[in-house]
Amino acid sequence: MRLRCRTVRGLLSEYIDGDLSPELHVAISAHLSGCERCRREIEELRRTVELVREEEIPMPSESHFDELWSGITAEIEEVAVHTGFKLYLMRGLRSVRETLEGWGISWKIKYVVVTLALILLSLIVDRTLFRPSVDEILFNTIQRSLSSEEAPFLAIEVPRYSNRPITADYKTGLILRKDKGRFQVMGVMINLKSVQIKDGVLTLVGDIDLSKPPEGDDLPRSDGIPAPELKLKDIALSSPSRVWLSDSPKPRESRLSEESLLRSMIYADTDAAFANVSIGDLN
Amino acid sequence: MTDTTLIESLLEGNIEALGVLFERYRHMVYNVAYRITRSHHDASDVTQETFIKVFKSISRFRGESNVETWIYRIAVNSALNHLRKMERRREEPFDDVPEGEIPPTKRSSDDPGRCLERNELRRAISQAMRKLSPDHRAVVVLHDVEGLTHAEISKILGCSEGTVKSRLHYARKKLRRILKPLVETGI
Repeated sequence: MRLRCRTVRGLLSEYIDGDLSPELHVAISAHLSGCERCRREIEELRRTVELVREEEIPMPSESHFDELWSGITAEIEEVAVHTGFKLYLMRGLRSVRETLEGWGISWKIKYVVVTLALILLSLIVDRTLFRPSVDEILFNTIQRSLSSEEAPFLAIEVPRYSNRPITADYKTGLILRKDKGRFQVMGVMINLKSVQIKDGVLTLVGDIDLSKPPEGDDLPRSDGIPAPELKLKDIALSSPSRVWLSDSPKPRESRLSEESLLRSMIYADTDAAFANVSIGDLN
Repeated sequence: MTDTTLIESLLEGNIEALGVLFERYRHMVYNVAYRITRSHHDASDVTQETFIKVFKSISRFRGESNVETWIYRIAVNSALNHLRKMERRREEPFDDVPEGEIPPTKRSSDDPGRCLERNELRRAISQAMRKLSPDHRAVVVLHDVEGLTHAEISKILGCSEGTVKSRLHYARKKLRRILKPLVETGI
Protein backbone atom coordinates (compact mmCIF):
# COMPACT_ATOMS: atom_id res chain seq x y z
CA MET A 1 0.00 0.00 0.00
CA ARG A 2 1.48 3.31 -1.08
CA LEU A 3 0.36 6.41 0.78
CA ARG A 4 0.65 10.11 -0.01
CA CYS A 5 2.08 12.58 2.55
CA ARG A 6 -1.32 14.29 2.94
CA THR A 7 -2.99 10.97 3.86
CA VAL A 8 -0.23 10.03 6.29
CA ARG A 9 -0.37 13.39 8.10
CA GLY A 10 -4.09 12.93 8.60
CA LEU A 11 -3.44 9.62 10.38
CA LEU A 12 -0.42 10.50 12.52
CA SER A 13 -2.47 11.03 15.68
CA GLU A 14 -3.98 7.56 15.47
CA TYR A 15 -0.62 6.13 14.38
CA ILE A 16 1.17 7.22 17.55
CA ASP A 17 -1.71 5.82 19.62
CA GLY A 18 -1.55 2.48 17.77
CA ASP A 19 -5.19 2.76 16.80
CA LEU A 20 -4.77 1.85 13.11
CA SER A 21 -5.21 -1.51 11.44
CA PRO A 22 -1.95 -3.52 11.16
CA GLU A 23 -1.90 -3.03 7.36
CA LEU A 24 -2.26 0.74 7.62
CA HIS A 25 0.27 0.91 10.43
CA VAL A 26 2.85 -0.94 8.34
CA ALA A 27 2.11 1.26 5.33
CA ILE A 28 2.63 4.45 7.33
CA SER A 29 5.82 3.09 8.89
CA ALA A 30 7.10 2.38 5.38
CA HIS A 31 6.19 5.90 4.27
CA LEU A 32 7.89 7.46 7.27
CA SER A 33 11.13 5.60 6.65
CA GLY A 34 11.38 7.28 3.28
CA CYS A 35 9.86 10.71 4.00
CA GLU A 36 11.94 13.14 6.02
CA ARG A 37 9.19 15.77 6.24
CA CYS A 38 6.54 13.38 7.60
CA ARG A 39 9.10 11.90 9.98
CA ARG A 40 9.84 15.35 11.36
CA GLU A 41 6.15 16.00 11.74
CA ILE A 42 5.51 12.82 13.71
CA GLU A 43 8.44 13.56 15.99
CA GLU A 44 7.03 17.01 16.68
CA LEU A 45 3.66 15.50 17.43
CA ARG A 46 5.15 12.91 19.80
CA ARG A 47 7.14 15.58 21.61
CA THR A 48 4.06 17.79 21.87
CA VAL A 49 2.08 14.99 23.49
CA GLU A 50 4.99 14.35 25.87
CA LEU A 51 5.17 18.01 26.85
CA VAL A 52 1.46 18.11 27.65
CA ARG A 53 1.70 14.87 29.60
CA GLU A 54 4.71 16.03 31.60
CA GLU A 55 3.29 19.42 32.47
CA GLU A 56 3.63 20.05 36.18
CA ILE A 57 0.52 21.36 37.87
CA PRO A 58 1.38 23.41 40.93
CA MET A 59 -0.76 22.35 43.87
CA PRO A 60 -2.22 24.85 46.29
CA SER A 61 -1.04 24.94 49.88
CA GLU A 62 -2.61 22.79 52.58
CA SER A 63 -4.26 25.88 54.05
CA HIS A 64 -5.95 26.51 50.71
CA PHE A 65 -7.35 22.97 50.76
CA ASP A 66 -8.49 23.57 54.34
CA GLU A 67 -10.44 26.60 53.12
CA LEU A 68 -11.99 24.51 50.35
CA TRP A 69 -13.05 21.91 52.90
CA SER A 70 -14.61 24.61 55.10
CA GLY A 71 -16.64 25.77 52.11
CA ILE A 72 -17.74 22.20 51.40
CA THR A 73 -18.90 21.56 54.96
CA ALA A 74 -20.80 24.87 55.05
CA GLU A 75 -22.62 23.92 51.84
CA ILE A 76 -23.23 20.38 53.02
CA GLU A 77 -24.87 21.53 56.23
CA GLU A 78 -27.51 23.24 54.11
CA VAL A 79 -28.29 20.14 52.08
CA ALA A 80 -27.74 17.63 54.88
CA VAL A 81 -31.32 17.75 56.06
CA HIS A 82 -32.66 17.09 52.57
CA THR A 83 -30.09 14.41 51.84
CA GLY A 84 -30.59 12.88 55.26
CA PHE A 85 -34.33 12.64 54.63
CA LYS A 86 -33.67 11.09 51.22
CA LEU A 87 -31.35 8.51 52.73
CA TYR A 88 -33.88 7.83 55.48
CA LEU A 89 -36.57 7.31 52.84
CA MET A 90 -34.29 5.03 50.87
CA ARG A 91 -33.54 2.94 53.90
CA GLY A 92 -37.29 2.73 54.53
CA LEU A 93 -37.97 1.63 50.98
CA ARG A 94 -35.18 -0.90 51.22
CA SER A 95 -36.72 -2.42 54.32
CA VAL A 96 -40.13 -2.48 52.57
CA ARG A 97 -38.54 -4.25 49.62
CA GLU A 98 -36.86 -6.79 51.84
CA THR A 99 -40.15 -7.43 53.64
CA LEU A 100 -42.04 -7.84 50.37
CA GLU A 101 -39.34 -10.09 48.96
CA GLY A 102 -39.58 -12.10 52.14
CA TRP A 103 -43.26 -12.60 51.34
CA GLY A 104 -42.36 -13.76 47.85
CA ILE A 105 -43.70 -10.64 46.13
CA SER A 106 -41.69 -9.72 43.06
CA TRP A 107 -39.80 -6.47 42.59
CA LYS A 108 -42.11 -5.27 39.78
CA ILE A 109 -45.29 -5.82 41.82
CA LYS A 110 -43.68 -3.93 44.66
CA TYR A 111 -43.12 -0.97 42.36
CA VAL A 112 -46.77 -0.96 41.35
CA VAL A 113 -47.94 -1.20 44.96
CA VAL A 114 -45.65 1.55 46.16
CA THR A 115 -46.56 3.81 43.22
CA LEU A 116 -50.29 3.34 43.81
CA ALA A 117 -49.84 3.99 47.51
CA LEU A 118 -47.93 7.20 46.80
CA ILE A 119 -50.56 8.39 44.31
CA LEU A 120 -53.33 7.69 46.82
CA LEU A 121 -51.40 9.45 49.55
CA SER A 122 -50.74 12.50 47.38
CA LEU A 123 -54.43 12.75 46.50
CA ILE A 124 -55.42 12.59 50.16
CA VAL A 125 -52.81 15.14 51.16
CA ASP A 126 -53.73 17.47 48.29
CA ARG A 127 -57.42 17.43 49.18
CA THR A 128 -57.12 17.75 52.89
CA LEU A 129 -53.95 19.22 54.28
CA PHE A 130 -52.60 21.73 51.84
CA ARG A 131 -55.68 23.22 50.27
CA PRO A 132 -56.16 26.69 51.65
CA SER A 133 -59.60 27.75 52.69
CA VAL A 134 -61.81 29.49 50.21
CA ASP A 135 -61.94 32.61 52.33
CA GLU A 136 -58.19 32.71 52.60
CA ILE A 137 -57.71 32.45 48.86
CA LEU A 138 -60.37 35.01 48.12
CA PHE A 139 -59.08 37.48 50.63
CA ASN A 140 -55.41 37.21 49.68
CA THR A 141 -56.06 37.35 45.97
CA ILE A 142 -58.34 40.31 46.17
CA GLN A 143 -56.06 42.19 48.53
CA ARG A 144 -53.10 41.55 46.26
CA SER A 145 -54.96 42.54 43.15
CA LEU A 146 -56.34 45.71 44.62
CA SER A 147 -52.85 47.12 44.92
CA SER A 148 -52.19 46.69 41.20
CA GLU A 149 -53.68 48.37 38.18
CA GLU A 150 -54.48 45.26 36.24
CA ALA A 151 -57.70 43.80 37.53
CA PRO A 152 -61.00 44.72 35.95
CA PHE A 153 -62.69 41.37 36.51
CA LEU A 154 -62.98 39.06 39.45
CA ALA A 155 -63.12 35.45 38.45
CA ILE A 156 -63.22 32.28 40.49
CA GLU A 157 -61.60 29.17 39.17
CA VAL A 158 -63.05 25.81 40.04
CA PRO A 159 -60.75 22.86 39.58
CA ARG A 160 -61.54 20.31 36.93
CA TYR A 161 -61.16 17.57 39.48
CA SER A 162 -63.24 19.22 42.14
CA ASN A 163 -65.24 16.66 44.08
CA ARG A 164 -67.99 19.25 44.20
CA PRO A 165 -68.45 20.30 40.59
CA ILE A 166 -69.92 23.73 40.02
CA THR A 167 -73.42 24.04 38.77
CA ALA A 168 -74.89 26.52 36.36
CA ASP A 169 -76.21 28.65 39.23
CA TYR A 170 -72.72 29.66 40.24
CA LYS A 171 -71.37 30.18 36.77
CA THR A 172 -72.67 33.65 36.14
CA GLY A 173 -71.65 37.16 36.67
CA LEU A 174 -69.72 40.25 35.90
CA ILE A 175 -68.63 42.32 38.84
CA LEU A 176 -65.85 44.79 38.99
CA ARG A 177 -64.11 47.17 36.71
CA LYS A 178 -61.05 48.88 38.05
CA ASP A 179 -60.12 52.42 37.07
CA LYS A 180 -57.05 54.02 38.70
CA GLY A 181 -57.61 52.65 42.17
CA ARG A 182 -61.40 53.03 42.00
CA PHE A 183 -63.89 50.42 41.03
CA GLN A 184 -66.74 50.76 38.69
CA VAL A 185 -69.62 48.52 39.62
CA MET A 186 -72.36 48.45 37.09
CA GLY A 187 -71.43 51.97 35.98
CA VAL A 188 -70.91 53.50 39.46
CA MET A 189 -67.43 54.52 40.50
CA ILE A 190 -66.51 53.38 44.01
CA ASN A 191 -63.46 54.26 46.10
CA LEU A 192 -62.87 50.98 47.83
CA LYS A 193 -62.16 51.05 51.56
CA SER A 194 -62.13 47.46 52.69
CA VAL A 195 -62.67 43.87 51.70
CA GLN A 196 -64.33 41.47 54.12
CA ILE A 197 -65.28 37.85 53.84
CA LYS A 198 -67.62 36.30 56.33
CA ASP A 199 -69.80 33.22 56.16
CA GLY A 200 -69.12 32.77 52.48
CA VAL A 201 -70.08 36.31 51.55
CA LEU A 202 -67.56 38.71 50.04
CA THR A 203 -68.24 42.29 50.98
CA LEU A 204 -66.55 45.25 49.34
CA VAL A 205 -67.07 48.50 51.21
CA GLY A 206 -66.39 51.93 49.75
CA ASP A 207 -67.57 55.43 48.98
CA ILE A 208 -69.34 56.23 45.76
CA ASP A 209 -67.20 58.63 43.79
CA LEU A 210 -69.32 61.72 43.32
CA SER A 211 -66.79 63.39 41.06
CA LYS A 212 -67.73 61.17 38.15
CA PRO A 213 -71.31 60.86 36.95
CA PRO A 214 -72.64 57.32 36.69
CA GLU A 215 -72.85 55.80 33.27
CA GLY A 216 -75.74 53.92 31.70
CA ASP A 217 -79.35 53.56 32.71
CA ASP A 218 -81.01 52.38 35.95
CA LEU A 219 -78.13 53.47 38.12
CA PRO A 220 -78.55 54.30 41.80
CA ARG A 221 -78.42 57.86 42.93
CA SER A 222 -75.26 58.76 44.76
CA ASP A 223 -77.13 61.09 47.13
CA GLY A 224 -77.54 59.52 50.55
CA ILE A 225 -75.31 56.53 49.94
CA PRO A 226 -72.03 57.50 51.64
CA ALA A 227 -70.67 53.99 52.19
CA PRO A 228 -72.31 51.34 50.09
CA GLU A 229 -71.55 47.67 50.50
CA LEU A 230 -71.18 45.29 47.64
CA LYS A 231 -72.03 41.74 48.67
CA LEU A 232 -71.19 38.80 46.52
CA LYS A 233 -73.09 35.78 47.73
CA ASP A 234 -72.56 32.10 47.19
CA ILE A 235 -68.94 32.44 46.21
CA ALA A 236 -67.78 29.88 48.70
CA LEU A 237 -70.35 27.39 47.53
CA SER A 238 -68.60 26.96 44.22
CA SER A 239 -65.60 25.39 45.95
CA PRO A 240 -62.97 27.41 44.12
CA SER A 241 -59.34 26.46 44.22
CA ARG A 242 -58.08 29.75 42.86
CA VAL A 243 -59.46 33.22 42.53
CA TRP A 244 -58.00 35.94 40.43
CA LEU A 245 -58.70 39.38 39.17
CA SER A 246 -57.95 39.13 35.50
CA ASP A 247 -57.22 41.66 32.84
CA SER A 248 -60.30 40.69 30.92
CA PRO A 249 -61.95 37.49 29.77
CA LYS A 250 -60.63 36.77 26.33
CA PRO A 251 -63.54 37.35 23.96
CA ARG A 252 -64.45 34.38 21.89
CA GLU A 253 -67.24 36.19 20.11
CA SER A 254 -66.69 39.91 20.08
CA ARG A 255 -70.24 40.74 19.01
CA LEU A 256 -71.62 39.61 22.37
CA SER A 257 -72.23 42.07 25.18
CA GLU A 258 -69.93 41.73 28.19
CA GLU A 259 -72.35 39.87 30.37
CA SER A 260 -73.52 37.46 27.71
CA LEU A 261 -69.93 37.08 26.68
CA LEU A 262 -69.02 36.02 30.18
CA ARG A 263 -71.92 33.68 30.37
CA SER A 264 -70.90 32.21 27.05
CA MET A 265 -67.35 31.76 28.19
CA ILE A 266 -68.35 30.26 31.48
CA TYR A 267 -70.48 27.62 29.86
CA ALA A 268 -67.73 26.88 27.34
CA ASP A 269 -65.04 26.54 29.97
CA THR A 270 -65.98 24.61 33.07
CA ASP A 271 -62.84 25.80 34.83
CA ALA A 272 -64.15 29.29 35.36
CA ALA A 273 -67.02 30.71 37.27
CA PHE A 274 -67.83 34.35 37.93
CA ALA A 275 -69.63 35.72 40.93
CA ASN A 276 -72.69 37.67 40.05
CA VAL A 277 -73.72 41.04 41.36
CA SER A 278 -76.84 42.97 40.73
CA ILE A 279 -77.52 46.63 41.24
CA GLY A 280 -79.65 45.82 44.25
CA ASP A 281 -76.64 44.44 46.11
CA LEU A 282 -75.17 47.88 46.44
CA ASN A 283 -77.25 48.71 49.48
CA MET B 1 -10.46 2.31 55.85
CA THR B 2 -11.41 1.28 52.31
CA ASP B 3 -13.34 3.53 49.94
CA THR B 4 -16.32 1.18 50.06
CA THR B 5 -16.40 1.38 53.86
CA LEU B 6 -16.27 5.16 53.63
CA ILE B 7 -19.20 5.21 51.20
CA GLU B 8 -21.23 2.99 53.54
CA SER B 9 -20.37 5.28 56.42
CA LEU B 10 -21.41 8.30 54.38
CA LEU B 11 -24.69 6.60 53.55
CA GLU B 12 -25.26 6.34 57.28
CA GLY B 13 -24.96 10.11 57.44
CA ASN B 14 -21.38 10.30 58.71
CA ILE B 15 -19.97 13.45 57.10
CA GLU B 16 -16.50 12.70 58.48
CA ALA B 17 -16.28 9.93 55.89
CA LEU B 18 -16.48 12.61 53.20
CA GLY B 19 -13.59 14.34 54.91
CA VAL B 20 -11.47 11.21 54.52
CA LEU B 21 -12.44 10.95 50.84
CA PHE B 22 -11.52 14.62 50.43
CA GLU B 23 -8.10 14.02 52.00
CA ARG B 24 -7.60 11.03 49.74
CA TYR B 25 -8.70 12.43 46.38
CA ARG B 26 -8.44 16.22 46.60
CA HIS B 27 -5.16 16.36 44.66
CA MET B 28 -6.49 14.11 41.93
CA VAL B 29 -9.64 16.21 41.63
CA TYR B 30 -7.78 19.51 41.75
CA ASN B 31 -5.26 18.30 39.20
CA VAL B 32 -7.78 17.28 36.56
CA ALA B 33 -9.92 20.34 37.31
CA TYR B 34 -6.96 22.62 36.75
CA ARG B 35 -5.90 20.87 33.58
CA ILE B 36 -9.36 21.35 32.11
CA THR B 37 -10.16 24.84 33.39
CA ARG B 38 -6.60 26.20 33.31
CA SER B 39 -7.36 28.39 36.30
CA HIS B 40 -6.56 27.84 39.96
CA HIS B 41 -9.60 29.84 40.93
CA ASP B 42 -11.89 27.66 38.82
CA ALA B 43 -10.09 24.48 39.85
CA SER B 44 -10.79 25.39 43.49
CA ASP B 45 -14.47 25.93 42.70
CA VAL B 46 -14.64 22.65 40.81
CA THR B 47 -12.95 20.79 43.67
CA GLN B 48 -15.57 22.05 46.10
CA GLU B 49 -18.38 21.35 43.67
CA THR B 50 -17.12 17.82 43.10
CA PHE B 51 -17.17 16.81 46.76
CA ILE B 52 -20.52 18.49 47.34
CA LYS B 53 -21.88 16.47 44.42
CA VAL B 54 -20.35 13.33 45.88
CA PHE B 55 -22.29 13.98 49.07
CA LYS B 56 -25.52 14.90 47.31
CA SER B 57 -25.48 11.93 44.95
CA ILE B 58 -24.07 9.34 47.30
CA SER B 59 -27.37 7.47 47.26
CA ARG B 60 -26.99 6.98 43.50
CA PHE B 61 -23.58 5.34 43.76
CA ARG B 62 -24.18 1.78 42.63
CA GLY B 63 -20.70 0.43 43.07
CA GLU B 64 -20.49 -0.44 39.38
CA SER B 65 -17.22 1.45 39.14
CA ASN B 66 -14.76 1.99 41.94
CA VAL B 67 -15.05 5.07 44.12
CA GLU B 68 -11.98 6.75 42.65
CA THR B 69 -13.32 6.46 39.09
CA TRP B 70 -16.71 7.70 40.22
CA ILE B 71 -15.24 10.79 41.90
CA TYR B 72 -12.95 11.33 38.94
CA ARG B 73 -15.90 11.34 36.56
CA ILE B 74 -17.80 13.80 38.72
CA ALA B 75 -14.72 16.03 38.74
CA VAL B 76 -14.32 15.93 34.95
CA ASN B 77 -18.00 16.62 34.35
CA SER B 78 -18.01 19.41 36.93
CA ALA B 79 -14.99 21.01 35.29
CA LEU B 80 -16.58 20.80 31.85
CA ASN B 81 -19.88 22.20 33.11
CA HIS B 82 -17.98 24.98 34.81
CA LEU B 83 -16.28 25.89 31.55
CA ARG B 84 -19.54 25.76 29.62
CA LYS B 85 -21.18 28.06 32.13
CA MET B 86 -18.27 30.46 31.79
CA GLU B 87 -18.50 30.30 28.02
CA ARG B 88 -22.17 31.25 28.22
CA ARG B 89 -21.23 34.19 30.42
CA ARG B 90 -18.28 34.90 28.08
CA GLU B 91 -15.82 34.89 30.95
CA GLU B 92 -12.18 34.15 30.32
CA PRO B 93 -10.41 31.80 32.70
CA PHE B 94 -7.29 33.27 34.17
CA ASP B 95 -4.19 31.44 35.18
CA ASP B 96 -3.99 32.79 38.68
CA VAL B 97 -2.00 31.43 41.57
CA PRO B 98 -3.73 30.61 44.83
CA GLU B 99 -2.49 32.21 47.99
CA GLY B 100 0.16 30.21 49.77
CA GLU B 101 0.99 28.07 46.77
CA ILE B 102 4.54 26.96 46.32
CA PRO B 103 4.79 25.82 42.71
CA PRO B 104 7.32 23.07 42.16
CA THR B 105 8.96 25.25 39.53
CA LYS B 106 10.09 27.66 42.26
CA ARG B 107 11.73 25.18 44.59
CA SER B 108 14.88 26.65 46.08
CA SER B 109 16.87 23.47 45.46
CA ASP B 110 16.50 23.87 41.71
CA ASP B 111 19.21 25.21 39.49
CA PRO B 112 18.17 28.81 38.52
CA GLY B 113 18.69 28.17 34.79
CA ARG B 114 16.69 24.97 34.86
CA CYS B 115 14.01 26.67 36.92
CA LEU B 116 13.68 29.44 34.34
CA GLU B 117 13.44 26.90 31.55
CA ARG B 118 10.73 24.95 33.36
CA ASN B 119 8.78 28.10 34.07
CA GLU B 120 8.96 29.07 30.42
CA LEU B 121 7.90 25.59 29.41
CA ARG B 122 4.98 25.57 31.80
CA ARG B 123 3.79 28.96 30.62
CA ALA B 124 4.03 27.93 26.96
CA ILE B 125 2.10 24.69 27.52
CA SER B 126 -0.49 26.48 29.62
CA GLN B 127 -1.05 29.11 26.95
CA ALA B 128 -1.27 26.47 24.24
CA MET B 129 -3.82 24.47 26.22
CA ARG B 130 -5.92 27.56 26.85
CA LYS B 131 -6.13 28.14 23.11
CA LEU B 132 -8.02 24.86 22.71
CA SER B 133 -11.79 24.75 23.01
CA PRO B 134 -13.06 23.18 26.27
CA ASP B 135 -14.17 20.00 24.50
CA HIS B 136 -10.84 19.60 22.69
CA ARG B 137 -8.91 20.39 25.86
CA ALA B 138 -10.88 17.82 27.81
CA VAL B 139 -10.09 15.10 25.28
CA VAL B 140 -6.37 15.90 25.36
CA VAL B 141 -6.33 15.88 29.17
CA LEU B 142 -8.30 12.68 29.48
CA HIS B 143 -6.38 10.82 26.76
CA ASP B 144 -2.84 12.13 26.79
CA VAL B 145 -2.50 13.04 30.46
CA GLU B 146 -4.90 10.75 32.29
CA GLY B 147 -4.46 7.84 29.88
CA LEU B 148 -8.14 7.03 29.38
CA THR B 149 -9.21 5.07 26.32
CA HIS B 150 -11.39 6.53 23.57
CA ALA B 151 -14.30 4.41 24.81
CA GLU B 152 -13.95 5.67 28.40
CA ILE B 153 -13.72 9.28 27.23
CA SER B 154 -16.76 8.91 24.99
CA LYS B 155 -18.74 7.68 28.01
CA ILE B 156 -17.64 10.56 30.22
CA LEU B 157 -18.25 13.22 27.57
CA GLY B 158 -21.39 11.62 26.17
CA CYS B 159 -20.21 11.55 22.57
CA SER B 160 -19.14 8.88 20.09
CA GLU B 161 -15.68 7.37 19.96
CA GLY B 162 -15.32 8.78 16.46
CA THR B 163 -15.90 12.27 17.82
CA VAL B 164 -13.31 11.67 20.52
CA LYS B 165 -10.72 10.58 17.92
CA SER B 166 -11.52 13.51 15.69
CA ARG B 167 -11.25 16.03 18.54
CA LEU B 168 -7.98 14.48 19.66
CA HIS B 169 -6.55 14.71 16.14
CA TYR B 170 -7.42 18.39 15.69
CA ALA B 171 -6.44 19.35 19.23
CA ARG B 172 -3.01 17.74 18.90
CA LYS B 173 -2.53 19.31 15.50
CA LYS B 174 -3.21 22.73 16.95
CA LEU B 175 -0.99 22.12 19.96
CA ARG B 176 1.84 20.97 17.69
CA ARG B 177 1.54 24.15 15.64
CA ILE B 178 1.55 26.37 18.73
CA LEU B 179 4.36 24.54 20.53
CA LYS B 180 6.50 24.05 17.41
CA PRO B 181 8.98 26.85 18.27
CA LEU B 182 9.47 25.31 21.70
CA VAL B 183 9.85 21.79 20.34
CA GLU B 184 12.40 22.96 17.76
CA THR B 185 14.59 24.39 20.54
CA GLY B 186 14.90 20.84 21.86
CA ILE B 187 13.49 21.52 25.35
